[in-house]
Amino acid sequence: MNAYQFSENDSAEHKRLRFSLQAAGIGTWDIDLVQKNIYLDDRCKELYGFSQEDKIDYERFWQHIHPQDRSQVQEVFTKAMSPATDGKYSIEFRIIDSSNRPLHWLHCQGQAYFTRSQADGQVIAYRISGIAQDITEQVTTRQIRWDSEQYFRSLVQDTPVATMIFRGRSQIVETVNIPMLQIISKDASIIGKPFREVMPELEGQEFFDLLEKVYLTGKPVFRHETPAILLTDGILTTRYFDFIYKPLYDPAGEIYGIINVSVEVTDQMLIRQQIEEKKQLVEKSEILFRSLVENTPDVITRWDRQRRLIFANKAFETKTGVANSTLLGKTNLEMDQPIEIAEPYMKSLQRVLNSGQPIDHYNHFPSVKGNMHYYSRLVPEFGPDGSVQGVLAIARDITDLKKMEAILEERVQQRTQELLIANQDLQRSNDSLQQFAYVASHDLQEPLRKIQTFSSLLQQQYADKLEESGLDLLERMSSAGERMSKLVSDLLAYSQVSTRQPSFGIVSLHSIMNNVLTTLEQKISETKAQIELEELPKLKGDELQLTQLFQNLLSNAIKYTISNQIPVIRVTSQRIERSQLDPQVKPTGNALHFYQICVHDQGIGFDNQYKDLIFQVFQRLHGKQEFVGTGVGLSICKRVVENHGGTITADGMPGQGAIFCVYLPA
Amino acid sequence: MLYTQINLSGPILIIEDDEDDQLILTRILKELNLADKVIYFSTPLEALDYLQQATVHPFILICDINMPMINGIEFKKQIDQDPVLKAKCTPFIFWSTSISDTLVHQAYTETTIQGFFQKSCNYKELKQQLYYILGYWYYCQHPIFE
Repeated sequence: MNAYQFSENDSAEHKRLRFSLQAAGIGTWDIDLVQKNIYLDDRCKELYGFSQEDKIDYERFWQHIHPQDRSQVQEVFTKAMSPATDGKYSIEFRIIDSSNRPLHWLHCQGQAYFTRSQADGQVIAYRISGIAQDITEQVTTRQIRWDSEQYFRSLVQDTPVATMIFRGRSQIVETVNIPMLQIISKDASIIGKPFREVMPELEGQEFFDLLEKVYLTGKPVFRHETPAILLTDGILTTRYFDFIYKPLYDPAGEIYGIINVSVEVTDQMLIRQQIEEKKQLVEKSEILFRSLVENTPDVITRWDRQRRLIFANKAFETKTGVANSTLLGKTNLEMDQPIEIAEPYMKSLQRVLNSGQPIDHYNHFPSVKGNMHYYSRLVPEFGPDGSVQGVLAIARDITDLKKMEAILEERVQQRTQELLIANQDLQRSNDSLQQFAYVASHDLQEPLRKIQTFSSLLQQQYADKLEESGLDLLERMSSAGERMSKLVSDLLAYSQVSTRQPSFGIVSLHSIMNNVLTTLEQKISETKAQIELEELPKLKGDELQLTQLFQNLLSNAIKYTISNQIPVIRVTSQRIERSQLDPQVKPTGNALHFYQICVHDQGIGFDNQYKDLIFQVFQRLHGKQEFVGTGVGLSICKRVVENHGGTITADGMPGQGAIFCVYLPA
Repeated sequence: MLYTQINLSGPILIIEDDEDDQLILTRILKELNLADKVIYFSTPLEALDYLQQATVHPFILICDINMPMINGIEFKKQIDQDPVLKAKCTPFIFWSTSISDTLVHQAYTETTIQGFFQKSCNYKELKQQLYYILGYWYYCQHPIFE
């Protein structure tokens, strides 16, 4: 029964055990729960702060346990003594020392022994025994460590930088602060759970593997601007982080966890990306622009305020035949250009620099390829303060254009010359025609007049010597001469209308018509003609020709009257658009508006099959005996309206009268 | 006839290259009793020679226009250049077969003349023309010369 009761008569084995316990500083104790006796060995007494002489009773024993730990120790004791347990116990507590020793921690381990009560048959603990060890040093160490760990945790909790700590290879979330929880959109419930389990959205991304690698290799990871796809407001979103995975070591130098510190840089990244994209765009357009500048056949140069060349494109090099690098920094005068070219150019540059206004500059200079012509646009370049910093010049080689222009000019000159000659020829032929017509009419008139004069002399002074038949012959001769005279003078009038340049002015048809009526006054009174006039317009025309036109039309209307009838004539006028014209009415000009003036008569009329024929020279529809005339009048009318860009039409019916319509541009 | 017996102050000078016209005129002037007062010139140059004489004071000059070498208008232009001659040759009258507008205009604007007549085709009319012209100038005042 007393297997653990040490006594003087311990066996050798007991002695060895006792010795080794003492060497290890372990004390042993034994409590008889029935008798309430406590046995402590010397070491144990020492541990509990008793002196060797002290008689230890149950009460005193408890008083040596720190009051704060006492109830806990009692609880453990009580628990160990419960038959429901295996009776084992282990507890750490503090000792109140009677002396001034510093506070001590003891670790007690022991075992309760049970027996069945003889009185009531219940199982009760009757004895408890075990060992005690001074663990003050361990506890202090542990306390320090605990304190520092606590401090560290609070540090993590309080830091504004998102931080979390994983423990073990399974990456259990041990500590996580609010900033980190906010980043990963989780709450504190993830603490104590494997990271992989609470962050399924990271599956397939590199982080779990990375953590594993850090855990296994101990090599920390520093990453910049690393994308992570995270649930953000319920949506998987790519965000960017600078982060650290750093292994944590235990006192033994073994990795037990990893600390992760992350800084979100998504906004900066996005801005950077935008800037990058913009930069690329700018670069792209810069490349495009460069390519344009370098490949255009136009010469592009830039000049500073001192009018020195600061940029020139490839075309400039090609045109000058000198490497641009040798010309940069020079003014035109320093470029070996002829002074009469350099000076005006520099003047133009100065004008742009002074005025801030773009100007055009034209120059040409001799080269091996001949005279080269350039047209330049000089544009001011403004600085940020709005002042003119320099001049951008774009020059175009217009030599070919100039050549073409010269060729064209030459051709125009040639054509003009040809036209001039043709015109002169025409004028000459016109003149000679007029000359001919004049001479013809004059020289024809001359002998005619003689015939008439002499025949009249014969009739007047030798009538008594001539028989009746002789006088009749003379009469016929005289009237033939008269007719021929009329024919010649009409022909002269026709040729004048045809060849003489009309002189156009604003004329009133009304006053022209009045003049015509005055001229025809005698005929009108002789025939008692009735003439009705509508209001007539003013228009652009040759007064003499138009007078001739209406005189001919009116005198025809009076003349071609059915015998013994009074001529009834009506003159109408209306404005008419070209589009309203009868298709058969074809004006010679291209005016859009016309005046249509018609002379209606109720005379003998004519068959419409002759309506074109009657406008031809010397064409007559009636015998000389019926109606006197030469057949020139209507031809003159046609000439006059054609000269005016108009036309004339005739419409008649035998015995019913005729209508002659004149179309003159309004 | 009004002045069958009148004495004109000087000769009637007729510058006319056409013999027919000269014939007709001679006939008419004879009928007007003025045949002895007329002097014919076939060319203006002959007339100019005659006019240079200081003693010559013509009553009237009747001049054709169409003539060889120098026409009537050129002839009158030459006369107009000399003020004495110009005064001596007043009145000066053109008569012509053709009476185109331009010719009449030219005659009146480029030279100093006192009339322009178309040669009539009718003998009777022609005689009347001359009768009126001469009668008018008979009653008219003429410039006086030194």
